[in-house]
Parts: sequence; C-alpha cells; structure tokens
Amino acid sequence: MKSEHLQMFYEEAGELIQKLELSLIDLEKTPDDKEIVAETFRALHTIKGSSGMFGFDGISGFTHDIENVFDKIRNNEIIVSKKIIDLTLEAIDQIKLMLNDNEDKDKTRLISEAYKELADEVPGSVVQNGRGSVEDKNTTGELKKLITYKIEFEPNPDIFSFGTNPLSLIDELKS
Amino acid sequence: MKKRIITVDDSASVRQMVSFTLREAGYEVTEAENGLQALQKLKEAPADMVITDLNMPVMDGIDLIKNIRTDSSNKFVPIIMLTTESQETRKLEGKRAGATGWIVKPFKAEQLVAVAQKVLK
Repeated sequence: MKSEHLQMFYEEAGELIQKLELSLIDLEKTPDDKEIVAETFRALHTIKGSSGMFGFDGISGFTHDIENVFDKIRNNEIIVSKKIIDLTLEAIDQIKLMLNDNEDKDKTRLISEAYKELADEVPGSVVQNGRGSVEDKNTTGELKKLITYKIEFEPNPDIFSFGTNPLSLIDELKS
Repeated sequence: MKKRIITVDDSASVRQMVSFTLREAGYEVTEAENGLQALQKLKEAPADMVITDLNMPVMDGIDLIKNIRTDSSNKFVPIIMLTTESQETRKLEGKRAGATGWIVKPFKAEQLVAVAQKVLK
C-alpha cells in the first residue's frame, strides 16, 4: 500500500466523520427523516469498508456495531432516540482517537456493548415497546447502565371504590 | 489491447486502491462514484468487467447490475460485487440481479488481481 493511498484514506475518513456529525445534529432535530438516516448509514458503511481495506480492523469492527443499529433504524426496527445520537457522537470521538492511534479501549468496548444491546432489542423498542437497555453518560463523562422497562398496569375498574390512588403506586414504582 | 475494467465505489480511497492494483496488473481502469456514473461510463465505451460496491448513493450496486443486465449492448459483461461479511442478503440480491461473482471486503490486492485474471482470461 502506498502512503498516498493511506493519506487519501485519512482525508476521506475525516470528511465522513464531519458529515456524520452534521447528520447526527440534523437527526436530533428531525429523527424521522429517512434520508438523513440513510446518509448516516452510508457514511458508517463506507468508514467500515475503507478502514477494513486499509488495515484498521479495530475501527472496522467498532463501526460495524454502530452500522448494525443504524441498519435497524433504517428498517424501522429501532427508533432514533437522543441516547442513540449521544452514543453515536461519543462513538465518533472514539473513531477519531482510533485514527490517531490514541484509543481508549475500555470506552470503545463499553460503547460497542451498548450498540450490541441496542441491536438486540425487540423490534420497535428502545422505550416504547418492551424492555430497552442503553448506555447513558453521567455528568462525569463515564458510561453507566440505564435500563428501561415496559410495565403494563391495568387496574380493576372499581379501584377507586377501595380508596386506592393509582398515582401513588406509580410514585412508589418511580422511587 | 488492454482489457478495460470499471470500478464503482463511493469511497474514493477504496476506488483509488482498486484502480492502482488493477493498473499495476496491466488493466485499463475507469472509476465511477456510483451506479449512474458507471452506466454513463459504459455508454461512453464498453468494458470487459465491472467491479462494484453495493451501498452507494444516487444508484446502488444492485440497481446498477439490473440496469446493465437489461442493456442489450452490455448485457453479458462480467460484474463482480464488493461485499462485506454482513451483507449476505444483499449478496443474494446481487446474484439474483445477475452478478457474476463477489469479493468480500477487506480483500488483498492479490485476491483482486486473481479474480480479474480468472474472469478475463
């Protein structure tokens, strides 16, 4: 492989990363925009393919996990959420570090696991339908586990006759 | 006379690498960024082989294969798809559309040349 080819790879990866970041900002405003989802998927797919071709197997594998989730979004199996966007912005930062050979391996692993969990979700899930599980970032910037459960609550029609306030049950659950 | 290959990929770096490898192996190579550009290049001059990526904007690889197979002047040109391990369904779609074969990314320069030599012998 010639150095000019590698140079071209770095330039292209930089452009795609920039494009990805802009797409994610747009997607946050219009999460249902299929064209932006398709563009995001294509950019990820290209990064995955070219990094594999140029021997950056770590980036290729990592991007594959992100691509899987966006493939599911593309096929309406997962909906775009702020968490997915934040996670992807964080993943892009990791790809930049990987390109500079300055990867935080633990963080990469955590992010990869979060994407794998997202990809394994029940179709149409994340928050609305069923148990969802995503990684969330706390104020210190560390990744912590955030699990969402779907709870079905169907009270007896005469629940009020017994003096029960269903709202207090929900408050209890929340705590 | 040199055999002419059209390489179609939206990734400029992959396109450049494929072109370089094939030119080094003695082929004439024309580059296209997407399926539509490849069809235009085919109209300008016939090719002996087309090597195409699948996921591309404007016109993807599957539509390119379908278009080539319905075009009487280029109907029989060999088409090799560049796929990834995760694209099994797309690979099958491409085969159904009329692709001659495929190479799984990432591949080595020697693999690419070996496929070109086999198809164009």
